[in-house]
Amino acid sequence: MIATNGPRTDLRRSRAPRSVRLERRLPRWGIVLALAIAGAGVAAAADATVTFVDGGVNIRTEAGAVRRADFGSGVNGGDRVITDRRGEAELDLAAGGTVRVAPDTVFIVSGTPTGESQSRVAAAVGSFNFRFRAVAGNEPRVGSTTSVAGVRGTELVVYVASDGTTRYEVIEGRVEIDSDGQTVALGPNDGVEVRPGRRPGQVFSLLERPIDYAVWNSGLIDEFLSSPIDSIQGLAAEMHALIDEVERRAPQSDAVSEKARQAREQLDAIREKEGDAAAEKHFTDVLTPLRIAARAEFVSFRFVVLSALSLDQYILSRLAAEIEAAYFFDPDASVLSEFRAVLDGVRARYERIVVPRLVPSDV
Amino acid sequence: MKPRLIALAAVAAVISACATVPPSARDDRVADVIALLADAPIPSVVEQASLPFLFTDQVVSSESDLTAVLTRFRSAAVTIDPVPVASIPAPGAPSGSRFDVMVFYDRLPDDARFVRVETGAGPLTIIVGGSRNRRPLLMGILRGAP
Repeated sequence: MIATNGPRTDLRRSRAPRSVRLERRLPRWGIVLALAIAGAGVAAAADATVTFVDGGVNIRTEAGAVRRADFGSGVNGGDRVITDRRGEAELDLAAGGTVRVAPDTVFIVSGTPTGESQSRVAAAVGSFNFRFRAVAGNEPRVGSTTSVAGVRGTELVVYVASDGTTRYEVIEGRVEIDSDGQTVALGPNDGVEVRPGRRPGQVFSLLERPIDYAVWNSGLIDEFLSSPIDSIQGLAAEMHALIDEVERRAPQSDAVSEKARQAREQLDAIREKEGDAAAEKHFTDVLTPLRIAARAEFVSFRFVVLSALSLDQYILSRLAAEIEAAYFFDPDASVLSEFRAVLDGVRARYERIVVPRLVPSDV
Repeated sequence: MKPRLIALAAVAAVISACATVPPSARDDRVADVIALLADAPIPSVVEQASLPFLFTDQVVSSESDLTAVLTRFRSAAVTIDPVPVASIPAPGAPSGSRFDVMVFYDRLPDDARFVRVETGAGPLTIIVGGSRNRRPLLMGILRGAP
C-alpha cells in the first residue's frame, strides 16, 4: 500500500468560532476594509466568498486564470478552488451554506440558483465539509463528479478518492443518494460509500468505520490495481453520463447565448433608429433579462463541463498513470491493453464533445 | 601582462557561457536529475519536478498524484544508469494527441529537452527544462528513446 496524501484535516470537528478566526487572520483595520468592500457590492457579486485560508490555496477561474485565494476572495460559479497538500480553505456560499475544503482537494463551485435551477457543490478529488444554514428547501446538491446527494438541513462530509469512490458522512440532518437507479437515505452518524458506476454500498455507522483519508485512498488505489478493468468500466460509465449531459444541454446553452448576443446587436440599431429612450427600454426589458438567463445557463452548463474535465484530469489520468507505472517495462501486458481500450473509447467521445467547450487554460 | 589578460578573458568567456547555457543542456546537471530519479527519496524527486507532469501519455496534475505515480514507477523500475545518453530539443506533440497532452507540449519552455536514459530493461526518455536549484526541472517520463 502506498500512502501518498498529505496531512488531512478532521472535517468532522468544528473550527474555531468565525469571529476568532477572522481576528487571527486579519488586523482590525483589515476587517473594516473587508466589510467596506463587501458593502460596496464587490463580494456580494460572487457565488462564494473565501472566509478562511491557510497554506496553498488557488482559485482557477472560469477564464482559466489562476490566482492565490485570500480572505475575502470572491469565487464565481465555474471556478475551481484547489488546495495543495497543506492548503485549507473555508467558503461562504451565496446560496447559503459553508464549505470547508481540506488539503489536496479540487472543489468545483456552481452558480447561485436562479428560478428552478438548483446549485451544486462537488469535489473532483479530496474532501470537504458542507454545512447548510439557510432556508430549508434551497439546499444544493452535494457530491463529486461521479455521485450526487440531495440534502435536507444538513451538515455532512464528502470524501472523494483518486479512483472516484465517494464517501458520504452525515453529521446532522438527512441525505439521499441516488446512484445507478438506487436511492439510499442517511441520517445523523450514518455513512455510505459509492463506487463509480455502482449502486451505493451498505450504510454504516460512523463510529464503526472512522476514516484516515490517506489510508482509505491508497487502499482503493491498490484495489483498483488488482482489478483495473472493473474500475475503468465503472468510471467510463460515469464519464459517458457526463458527456451525455453535455451533449443534451449544449444546444440550450448555445441558444440562450445566441439570443443575448442578438439582443446586444439590436441595441445599437434601436438606438440609431428610435433614439436613446427606446434603447434604454430594450436594454432593461430585453437585454438584461437575457444576459442574466445566459449567465445562469452558462454557469450551470459549465459545471457539467468542468465535472467531465475534472473526472478526466484528476481521476482517469491518475489511474491511467498508476497502471502505466506499474507496467512501465511491460507495455504489452494484456491487462494494460484491455484498460487502454476502455479508456481510449470513452476519451475519444470526450475529445469530440467536451473538449470543444474547453480552452487551453482550463487544464 | 598579456597572458594574464588572456586568462581573464577565458574565465569571463567560461562564466558567460555557463550563464547562457540552460541547465537542461548541461550533461552534468541533467545527470543530477537522473540520479535523483534513480534513487533519491520520492519527495526529493517531486521537489525537482514540475506540474503538470507527463507520464507516458498521461498528464499528472497534482503533487500527491505525482508522488504516487513516481512511487509506483520506482517500485516497478529496474536499475537506471544516471548518465544522459543523448538529447534532442523538445519536439511537438505526437499527432493524434489528446487535448491535455497537446497543451502540455505547447507549454514546454524553449529550453526543454528530451533526454535518453538507459535502464536495465531498455531506454526511457525524460523531459527536462527550466531550472530549480541550478538543475533542470523534471517534466516528464516517456517509454523508449526520444
